[in-house]
Amino acid sequence: MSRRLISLTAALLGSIAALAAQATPPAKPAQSDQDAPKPFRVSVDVVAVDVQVIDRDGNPVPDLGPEKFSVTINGRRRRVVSAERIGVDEGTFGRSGGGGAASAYLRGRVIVIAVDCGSFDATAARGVIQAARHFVGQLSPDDYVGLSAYPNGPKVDPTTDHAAVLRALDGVTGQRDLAEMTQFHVRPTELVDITRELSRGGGPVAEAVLRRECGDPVDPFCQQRFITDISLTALYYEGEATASLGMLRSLVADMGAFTGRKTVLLISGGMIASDSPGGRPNLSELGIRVGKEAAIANTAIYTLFVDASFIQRFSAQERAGDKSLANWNRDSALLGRWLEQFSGAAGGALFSVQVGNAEAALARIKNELSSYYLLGVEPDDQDRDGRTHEISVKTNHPNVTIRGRRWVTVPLRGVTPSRPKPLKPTEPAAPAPTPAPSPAPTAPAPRAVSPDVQAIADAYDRGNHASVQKAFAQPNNLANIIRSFRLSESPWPHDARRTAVFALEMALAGLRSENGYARDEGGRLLAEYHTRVRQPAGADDFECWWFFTEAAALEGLFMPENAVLFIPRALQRCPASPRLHLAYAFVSEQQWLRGGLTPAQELEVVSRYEAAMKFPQTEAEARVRAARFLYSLGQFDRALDLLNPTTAQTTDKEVRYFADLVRGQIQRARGRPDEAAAAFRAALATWPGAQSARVALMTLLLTRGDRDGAAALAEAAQTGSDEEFDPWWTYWLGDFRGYPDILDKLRGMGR
Amino acid sequence: MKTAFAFVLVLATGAAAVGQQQPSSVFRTGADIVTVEASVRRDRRPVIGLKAADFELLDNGVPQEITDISFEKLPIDVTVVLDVSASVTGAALDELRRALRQFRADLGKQDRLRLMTFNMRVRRLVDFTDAAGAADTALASLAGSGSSAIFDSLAVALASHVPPGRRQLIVLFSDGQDSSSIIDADVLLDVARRSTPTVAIVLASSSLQRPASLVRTAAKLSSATVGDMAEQIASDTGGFVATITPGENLTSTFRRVLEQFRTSYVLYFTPRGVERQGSHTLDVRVKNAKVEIRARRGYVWR
Repeated sequence: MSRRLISLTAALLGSIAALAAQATPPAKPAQSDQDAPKPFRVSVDVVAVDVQVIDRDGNPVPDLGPEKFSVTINGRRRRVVSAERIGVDEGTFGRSGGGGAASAYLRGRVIVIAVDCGSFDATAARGVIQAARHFVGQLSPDDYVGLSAYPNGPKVDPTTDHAAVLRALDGVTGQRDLAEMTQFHVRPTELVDITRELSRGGGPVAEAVLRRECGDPVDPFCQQRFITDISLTALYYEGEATASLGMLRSLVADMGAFTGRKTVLLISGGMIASDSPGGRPNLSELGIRVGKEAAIANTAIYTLFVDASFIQRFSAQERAGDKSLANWNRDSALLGRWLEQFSGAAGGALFSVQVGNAEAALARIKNELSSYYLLGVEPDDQDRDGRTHEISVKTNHPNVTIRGRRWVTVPLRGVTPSRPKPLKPTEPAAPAPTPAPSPAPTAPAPRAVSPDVQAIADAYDRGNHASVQKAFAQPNNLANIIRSFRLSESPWPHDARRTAVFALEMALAGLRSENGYARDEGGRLLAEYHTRVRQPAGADDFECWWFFTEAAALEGLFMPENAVLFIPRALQRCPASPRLHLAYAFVSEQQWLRGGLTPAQELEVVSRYEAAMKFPQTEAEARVRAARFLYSLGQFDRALDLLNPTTAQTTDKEVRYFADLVRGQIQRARGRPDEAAAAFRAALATWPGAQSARVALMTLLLTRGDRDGAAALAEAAQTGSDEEFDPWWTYWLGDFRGYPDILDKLRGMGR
Repeated sequence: MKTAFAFVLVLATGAAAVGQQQPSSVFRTGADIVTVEASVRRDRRPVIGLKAADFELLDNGVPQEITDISFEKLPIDVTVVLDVSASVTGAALDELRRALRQFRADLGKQDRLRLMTFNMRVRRLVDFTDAAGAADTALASLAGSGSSAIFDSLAVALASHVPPGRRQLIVLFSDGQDSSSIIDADVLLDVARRSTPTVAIVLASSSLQRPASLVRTAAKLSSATVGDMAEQIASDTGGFVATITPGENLTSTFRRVLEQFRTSYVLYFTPRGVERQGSHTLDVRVKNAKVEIRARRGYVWR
């Protein structure tokens, strides 16, 4: 049987191979697995470049010699000294030209199925997983198959135990957030166009959508909220996409540690990315960067874009929006755009399919993966600088498509890079192939931590939080620091919790900044880690407390628009968290304070407080805050009914003080000055010296003609000690009143 | 900058003490005298030399006899209430310090200054009876931070003890919205109507269209803007609103505030033909003259 072993393949794929294609006599076909070829003798250093050549139907094209290929590195033509076709079975063998035929049997391919669970809902995911199972079932038994479902889902290292992968696939579920991003009905195309127009001061799309959503003439409160929502939604998508791409980058980095050519089959529902300058979400060059890293890691990414936009157009939210068919097509393109940026950069491709129709695309991918050509390309001396260069492979063969990596690293002459690790020797399927030594690395360079970030991380490790906060307080440099943190490896690559806590603190520093760029970067980082912090096995205490810390900080920053993006999603993960329920109600009230909520939305605020009242830990505070809210709406009797013994007897002294203060306000509004005065005096008894209770009582006494009593309280209010604290001053900051303790606890959990 | 102005002093009760500390001022006996301050201007200049007979004063629509009148005779107590929240920092704070030093220097020998500051906390830094040096020390220590309890702080200033025989002016300087008061706009306005001092408000022009409070309530004035609210308080107390733009000389604004208050008439009358108890509306006019006149719109008798 004419075959060569995987060892040869592994020695060459994606690396700088030591080939002597011209000087070496034609190799005889190997007769068996044991008949492994020896590495070629070196007389000329060549770059091994693998490419797939497929015809219009996706079938591999056989019998192409080196003369059929032309290769350029950085745009300069380089000589192709050999072309060897590697196939999974005998039927794919063919001859190669040049110095002689050299064919190999492709065994032990490394294929990892990556599922971006956050981009699917559960319905769309079912069909996708079924198709993936079918795909795995058709692979060769000696192929190494892995699974990486992110952000939360099973992970299986490449193994020949395909049954294990199939079992793990059963645990993959769609996790797309179903919480509405905004109260407005805005489609992806509109989001992109409106953000672009707003960056230029406005435009026709923004005006049309504003009229649709905020009436004509446009309600100014609604307009303000709309613009804020649009901006934050774009920011959230950017953060979410960064998280998704970040996990893909980590996977690619892991793949690079293995020898030879690898394949990632990415299954994604896509993510919105702007297709025009100035539009958002703007992923910048991140997708291209992933493609480059994949190319350097010799990892082809085949992407199956499962386009659910056809189904989504019939969702309740979408039905209320724009119905233009042209925009639907563009919506679909926007969702798949970022996938295009990296798919194919390393020799893969992007296939777009509708939900429930993935089999044909997967069959084609399987077919494409069945063979490829391994080209020996002679680099020039100027290419041998150890850096990454753009490479292009073409063929003069008609009607074919070439899939090949677009980037290659040529090491310095004489440098022997470190060897990638072989596949795990303990894989259950036998016999495991033995990768031949590879003379060049395939792993991408680690994403180095920037000195700025490292210095802050070092201070963080020392527990010097004052120094960390000082570094975060640099408004002019903070955006750069956050950005470099986002794009580089974590300072604690093996400590996800510590990284998540650090990221939260950094993101919040960004959001606090006076610098707009820093605020944007902070928002992206927060959205990214809001996804990354999720634990694969379900939300644990750390994850839920991380979310609560995030919520408390956003309450304190008075950023309800940001908070209402994050907290509902956190509640989906941690539905039993009382404090998250209370936080959700509170930020909804903060949003109401901003104005523009409808009566129905005001009722939602009350119902969210009612949800928090169901938990003993938050019942008293939820009652008091709900009462205060209803008082603001003028529903005095209903408000008073909420202030029951639970609020009067709570052990939380601040909440007890709030309860008396609010009762006094309600009674005053109800025309009960005596009851109001009694309530304000009770508040003063709970918190002696509190300015707000004094002032409330003072004004009440003045109204009742007690000028001397009022004057005495006015005197006390303006001469009180600077040490006297009034809890009312933090009432509108919600959980932020306990933030130092909340953060300390999170830091402790992250250590 | 607004040019309307008016000053009012209401001594609903206890007026017997008027003049005890200042013999040069008008002396009155009896407990039923109401004093009303009236600023009369033509082409932005004070109109001087008017007599009681030149004025017409209606209490709840009923003409009243003005029994006496004074001009620039009573000493003035000025309470300056300064916003030192996080939004008042840097150059603005430096300018404020300069303006206040000049303001203190512009006061007459018999006049007195009280200095209060607020963010969410209201504090009296200098009282009327403190030595002059205390003001310098206090001004040097000003630093901006925190949120703004404007309503609460103004209410505290209004409700403070009023010494007899002295005119009372409160000058509120703020650049923005209330964000942390316990009382709402309706309560503050009620307090202002029941209190003696005239309120002059110095505001940043950029803040006029903002909501007066970030805390929404069921109050009637809940949706009032900063400008609306300031105008309402000023007109109800016979005061006025001065707006400043960035870079404008705050010193001259404060000087103008003091000058306008100083050059107003104090009218004395005893209500007749009306029910004493409760709220009264006032209407003050100058007979047969085209002038601008501002005076308190009412008072509350208890």
